[in-house]
Amino acid sequence: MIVAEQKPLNEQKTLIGGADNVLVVGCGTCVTVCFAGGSREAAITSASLRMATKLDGNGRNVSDVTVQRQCEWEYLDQIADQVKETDIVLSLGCGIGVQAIAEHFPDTWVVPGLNTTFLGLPSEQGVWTERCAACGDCVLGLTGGICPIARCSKSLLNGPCGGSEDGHCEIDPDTDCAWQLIYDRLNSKNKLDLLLELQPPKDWRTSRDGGPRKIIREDLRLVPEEE
Amino acid sequence: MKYARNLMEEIGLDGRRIQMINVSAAMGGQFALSAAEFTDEIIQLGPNPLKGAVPSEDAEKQNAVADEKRTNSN
Repeated sequence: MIVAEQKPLNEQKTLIGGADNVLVVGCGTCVTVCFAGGSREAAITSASLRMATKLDGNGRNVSDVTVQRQCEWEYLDQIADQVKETDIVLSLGCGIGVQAIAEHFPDTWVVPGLNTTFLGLPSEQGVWTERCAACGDCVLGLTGGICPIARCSKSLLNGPCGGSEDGHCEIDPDTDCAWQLIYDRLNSKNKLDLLLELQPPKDWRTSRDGGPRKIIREDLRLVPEEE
Repeated sequence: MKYARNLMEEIGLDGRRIQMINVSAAMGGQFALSAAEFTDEIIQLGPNPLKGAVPSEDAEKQNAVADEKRTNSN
């Protein structure tokens, strides 16, 4: 999932600036699961902003609504009327949701209420950890399902650096060394021979280095008559 | 509890205005004592500052409508 966390209330207050009517928009997918921007958080943020601005002596009209997914036009269409009536949208979606709202409602000013952090999973209750860097050229088949791009601090492809100590990373003793995890995993599956396959320098053009990415599936696109 | 207190501090309300205690149904005396202590603390903290804050009339109306909608949807 996309993992995010809420911006501090003061920053949210600064972002809404002098707007009188504020619509807090939650998202029912990834940020709901990581307790950052679902319907519950949207209601809490909305109430908090009402109280905080009231205490500042300039109470604002703050309401909230949550859509299933902010990143799809169909769901955004459902809140078109509410967006039209507001001065500003505080999106509790990830960065994609914020941009989708800005693109879909060009007349409305939209600001982010969250900091989008990484692609990861809840490793335990209340703890989320990064698992994928969306590099566009997956190597998990060679590394036992453990990503050296996202989970090795240096994104090394051919084993650990000299900073691996007792299975931990030199940047933080609480961070596992990804290459220790990979070694242990391959060893347990009798697949250590995979490590003998040296990986050439990675082609980062499939990642962010190649600029904004796009996938086009001609088989899924609507032909002009169907649009 | 920590989350709720931090939230209240962020809003500008004193986090000490919220407390949670665990007492069983058989601990009436303890409950009364804790409630009395908390009441004293609240009195010392003074009235809820939100009650003194004056929002615009329009804001009050719209917020009341939003609260009602949420209550109905729940």
